[in-house]
Amino acid sequence: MNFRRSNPLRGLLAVLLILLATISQAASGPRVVLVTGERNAAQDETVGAIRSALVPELNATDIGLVEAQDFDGGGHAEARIIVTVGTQAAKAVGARRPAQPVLNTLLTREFYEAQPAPLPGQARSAIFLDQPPRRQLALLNAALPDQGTVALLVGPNSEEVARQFVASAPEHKLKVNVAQVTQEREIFQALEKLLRERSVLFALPDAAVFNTYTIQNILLTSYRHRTPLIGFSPAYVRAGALLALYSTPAQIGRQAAAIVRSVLAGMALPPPQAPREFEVAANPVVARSLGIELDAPERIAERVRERENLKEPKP
Amino acid sequence: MIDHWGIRARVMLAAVLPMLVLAIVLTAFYTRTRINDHEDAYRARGQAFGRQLAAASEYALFSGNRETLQRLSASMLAEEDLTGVLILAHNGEILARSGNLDTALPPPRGATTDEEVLSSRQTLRIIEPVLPSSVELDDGLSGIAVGVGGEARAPAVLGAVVVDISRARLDARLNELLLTSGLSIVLVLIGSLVLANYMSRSVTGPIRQVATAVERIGRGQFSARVPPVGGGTLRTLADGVNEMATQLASAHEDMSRQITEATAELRERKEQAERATLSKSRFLAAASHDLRQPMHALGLFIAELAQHQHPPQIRQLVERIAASAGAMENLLDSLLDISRLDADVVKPNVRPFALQPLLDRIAAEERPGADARDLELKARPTDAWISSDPVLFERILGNLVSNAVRYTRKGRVFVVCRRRGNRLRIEVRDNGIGIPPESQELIFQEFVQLHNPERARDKGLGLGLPIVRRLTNLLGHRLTLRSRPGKGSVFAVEVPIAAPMPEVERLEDRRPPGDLGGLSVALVDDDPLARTSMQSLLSSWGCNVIAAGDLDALTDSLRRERKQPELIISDFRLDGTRNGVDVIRSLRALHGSDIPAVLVTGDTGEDTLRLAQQQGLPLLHKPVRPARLRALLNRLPGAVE
Repeated sequence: MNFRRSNPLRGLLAVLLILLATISQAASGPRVVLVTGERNAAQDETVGAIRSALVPELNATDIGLVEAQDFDGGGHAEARIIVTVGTQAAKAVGARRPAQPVLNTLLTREFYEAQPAPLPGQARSAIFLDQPPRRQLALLNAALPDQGTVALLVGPNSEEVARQFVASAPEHKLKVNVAQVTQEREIFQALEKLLRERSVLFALPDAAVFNTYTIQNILLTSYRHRTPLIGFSPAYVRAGALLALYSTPAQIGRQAAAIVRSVLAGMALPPPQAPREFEVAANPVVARSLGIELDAPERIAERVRERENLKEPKP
Repeated sequence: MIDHWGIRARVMLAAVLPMLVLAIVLTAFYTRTRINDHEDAYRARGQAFGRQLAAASEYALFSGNRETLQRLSASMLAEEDLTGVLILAHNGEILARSGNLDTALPPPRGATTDEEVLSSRQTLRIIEPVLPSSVELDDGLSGIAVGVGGEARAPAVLGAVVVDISRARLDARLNELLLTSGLSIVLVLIGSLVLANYMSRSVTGPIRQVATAVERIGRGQFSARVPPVGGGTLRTLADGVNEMATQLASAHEDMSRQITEATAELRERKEQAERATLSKSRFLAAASHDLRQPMHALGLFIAELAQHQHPPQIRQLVERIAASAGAMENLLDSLLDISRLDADVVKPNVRPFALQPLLDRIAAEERPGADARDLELKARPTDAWISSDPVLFERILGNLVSNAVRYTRKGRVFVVCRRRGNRLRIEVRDNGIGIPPESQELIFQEFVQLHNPERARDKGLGLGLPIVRRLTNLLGHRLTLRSRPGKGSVFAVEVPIAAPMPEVERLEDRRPPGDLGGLSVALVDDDPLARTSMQSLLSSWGCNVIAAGDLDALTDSLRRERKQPELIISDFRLDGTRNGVDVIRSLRALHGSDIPAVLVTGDTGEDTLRLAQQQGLPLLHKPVRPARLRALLNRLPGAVE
């Protein structure tokens, strides 16, 4: 996989490139460039998913892999599309402003929107990590049909998401209580107020409110109020959230590969979008502690998908 | 300082010092380590309390639950040694307080992110920040987990807990530790002293034995030996000392034997010498006595003979006989004087006396000789009194003057007195032939006559100056000689000056030489020859002599003739049990104690002299020269009326 660091692979690749150049003479460089930032399991998994999804149609040489700090705009003239994986890669490629269309993956909407705007005529799109509020509310309906109230602890970076929650709530027959906090010290008071009513607390991707230091006390407080917390990653479930709906890197990779394929087929870059596929994780211990009967997470996910397909058929 | 230490002290020091140093170092190290351990444990305990309380109060601080915090702090106070607990909010507000906080320490200033440990004399204070515990949320989808940018954020401090722990128990434990350490050092010191004492005994013991033995040898106990002790150098030392003692003993023995032999030999020689001296003395004594008797008689007879009328031829003969007898008497006198002086029997009778009469007498005696040689003899008058024996001093000066007269052919002989401080220097000067320097010591030996190789009798016997030398030595007078050949000689005697005694002088001066006519003299002498001659002489002088061989005969004669003796002359050694002193005493008892008396003796023995001196009797030695007897009689008190 990592041919830059593997000399035998590199030699083999050079031989292949010479063969290709003499036989087809059609292309002289990779047509898809993958830019990665900090190397971690999630990114590797994403890169792997994109590759394996593209390989049946593309030669291995058509997919280039570059690390963010090595990326320069002019080095990949033949590339048809640049796919970034992770926030660092998105930031590095955004700063170079390459001519090709850029697809950002594995980043939040908040981060994407904070990037400087692209030049006119330059195509840019993204697949966010954030799950759409509607899907989250659907999860609530699917998992805990008895619950009618949603509690939201909103920080300075999650006001937009909160608005979407509030907007989508009526169609799920849910009521949304919102508590606004500007700093961590206000969390307890806000939670106390918020959780006076029986509700389900949703964690929002806002590091000012939900971070490694605050999550324990938030979980403790919600537990004292016997309020379940729904997170947005498996880590939340491990930390003590009841449920989490999330997309795996592989799922996002596959979605990215589909977009690449369509771009290579000559179609335009689609607009930024939420992940299409997702999974649900549950913490049965927490459920038992709170006295909640939960279905299997797979069934819950299935129910959410069914509702999404029912309302919004796949294009 | 250590230079003056004995072996024992040195051994003690050598043994004790390292042990003591080691004990102190080890104990100090151990104590220090233990103290540090205690301190660390104490601090760790306090920190554990702080962390425990911080962890416990995290949620209560997060939720601002003062009741819970108060309960927590109160329950914390139940722990041993905790004196005060304080829980602060992130802004420094006091949320809970239990117990008493040490005021010696600065009050806690709000919450910090770092743990602090403060310490005062009584208290250890732990300030532990309360941080929210973190839960790992980063599962790779980091963009979501840590928000925008994904950079790590410092946790917001919830507050702080302050825990005061009393140091009392720690201090008590430390004190106990220090006490134990001190005690152990003292114990080690005592132990090492005892050990060192024991060790030094074993070291110094053999050396002491050696020292004792050496000391005994030093005191002369050569039999002292060092018992075989130890080995090595000690053994060598002991053997060396023993060897030395053996050598010393044998050397000492050799020397003692030699000294004994030498002493025995010396004693033998001394005894020989003493025997010889005794023989000589006996000979002299015998000679003097046995020679004197006939000489005495001869002199007296000649004197008497000379007083008779003789034809000129006979007179000349008598004169020659008298001269020969006089020379013989002189010779005998001088020999006897020398022998007496050598026998050390002459005891000087030192007293003050006027010098001038003595000078007059000598001048009178020598003048005939001087006139015969046509010499000018002068004695410069003096009023000095000197302290000496008058008889012996007269002999000294007389000898010197007669010597000068004899050896001066032409010119003069002066006797001059000069004061030298508290001494009087009496010089006898002549302008005679002089004495060469190399002979100036020789002339003081017996029978040496430089200018008389022919030994002419008129130049004396060569005994004058030896007698002078012996007498000045005996009296302690300084005798000097200054002379050059042809330039004459100066003999000088220095004598102490004495204070004048006028009345004695007057008494003696009052007695001019007078007529002895009609003087009644009692004479006792057992030798008929001597008695007859003396009687003849005295009779020729006009005395009435009653002579006898012993006291009884004399008293009979006196009674028969009804005479009262005015003068007693007695021989010292008489037949029978009585001697001259007894005779004089008896006669005085009969006829009056103030009768003048004269002892005459042929003895030169010391006993005779002493007896005469005890009785205050003048003593004349035989042969008595008529002139001397006459002079004595003239001087006797009551002899002149």
